[in-house]
Amino acid sequence: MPKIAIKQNKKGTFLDLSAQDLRAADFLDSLSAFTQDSSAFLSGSSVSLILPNDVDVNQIGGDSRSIISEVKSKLNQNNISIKSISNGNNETFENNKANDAFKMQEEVVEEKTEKEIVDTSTLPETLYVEANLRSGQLIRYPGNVFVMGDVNPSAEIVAAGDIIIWGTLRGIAHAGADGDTEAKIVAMKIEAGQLRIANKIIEIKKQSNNKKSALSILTGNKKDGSMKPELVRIKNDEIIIRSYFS
Amino acid sequence: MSTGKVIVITSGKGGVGKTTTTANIGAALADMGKSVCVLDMDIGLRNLDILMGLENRVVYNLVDVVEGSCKIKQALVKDKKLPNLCLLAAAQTRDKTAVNEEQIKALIEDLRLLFDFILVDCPAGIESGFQNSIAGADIALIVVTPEMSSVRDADRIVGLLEARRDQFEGINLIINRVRPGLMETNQMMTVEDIQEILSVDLIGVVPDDEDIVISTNKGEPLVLTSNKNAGQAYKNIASRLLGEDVPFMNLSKGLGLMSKIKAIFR
Repeated sequence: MPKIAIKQNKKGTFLDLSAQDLRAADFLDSLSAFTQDSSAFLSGSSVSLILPNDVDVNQIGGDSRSIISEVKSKLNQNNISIKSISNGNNETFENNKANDAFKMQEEVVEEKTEKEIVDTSTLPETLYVEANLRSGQLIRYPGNVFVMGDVNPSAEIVAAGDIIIWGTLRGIAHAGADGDTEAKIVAMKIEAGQLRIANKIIEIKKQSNNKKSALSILTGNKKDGSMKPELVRIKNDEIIIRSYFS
Repeated sequence: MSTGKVIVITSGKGGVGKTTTTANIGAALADMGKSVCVLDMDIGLRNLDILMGLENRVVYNLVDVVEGSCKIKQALVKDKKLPNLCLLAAAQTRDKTAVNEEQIKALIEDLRLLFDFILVDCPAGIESGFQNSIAGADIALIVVTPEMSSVRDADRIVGLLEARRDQFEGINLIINRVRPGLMETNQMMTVEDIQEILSVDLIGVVPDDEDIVISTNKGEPLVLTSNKNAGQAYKNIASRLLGEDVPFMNLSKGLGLMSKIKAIFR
């Protein structure tokens, strides 16, 4: 069965079911598994559904009607609401926001052919946190996160956009949590044992001297102990760490 | 009307020395002339009575007081040596659900009228026992040992306490079981490392000391018999709680040439 994909553009988050066979017996199971896997990010959000072309959205009834209500209840179970439903041809809105339905549809089709792009200008305002994030504290945010303070071991930030830490990162930071491979993590110092961007995870093996930054461990630079901002991003499908100024 | 200060001694992780710290700071404050009550909140797993050497004198306990089976003064056990030091023991046959926050707050308000300091020995964990222990506290002393697991748990505690910042006039850190030799050769987290992560005001650094084991077995807080190492460190903490500006002890062992060379290659 083809994969269910999350896409995001200016209009919001889309759950792409266009390649799915809605009538297949295991469709609902795979949808339910998928929403559970992505509930970390999708939970609490509202998504637009993109249905296969052969499902007529204007005359949803009979079979497809019940399938869609099943889909809706699966999503609702994971605290996800449906903003609109569309397919390659047409679109209906669930909650009367149908003003520019056709325009939106064009854009969706266009962007499906392109790389999956997250337009950061449409993410919500950057979340500004002025505090040390301590063990057990969690920030989940569908945009960029800026922390004025340290992120301590086993504290966690999950952001759809970038994560910028004006302090030391020792806990878990997950940038681009909905799949944005362009997302980055910047911190004054990184002492974390693990970094996550989009669907990539890198482990940084701990060394006997726990004061070493991740950068100095990876580069074998023994002298590094000072505050030099470090940048984490994906390059050639791998997470890399480098000095912010190099 | 006198109002005593309520100090909760907590850590998150178990076995880092909360009870020992409570007994020693309590004894030190009493030795300095203050009236002190040490309160064991570890209901079901009580230990403080043993460290104070008072286990055979306990008749009533905290749960008895809360449930109204006895008066507070009946349950307070006077220390053998220091008449102004009292213990209120935990119930051993009950569990943490035997009391609630409101009851503990009420109990603590009553104790405030009787003592200068009330030291609350908090159980490990962050569940109801912890919530009850911090319910009426003014100052929190967080005990941490130089290990990552202890520091992480302490960090969690600091986070929980900071969420109720208005309640606390002070959140302070005690670094316990420090081994200066290992710290100097970078084989153990240093005092600076711990402070950097927790960013909480330091009120004491207590060295690892064999005498603690001996005094625990004797049931006599070390501060009453020792003026060095851990004994002195606990006295210093008590003085700082009284507002004195006591410099931190120099714990440096002075490394030998060989250890210095070893440290370079480590």
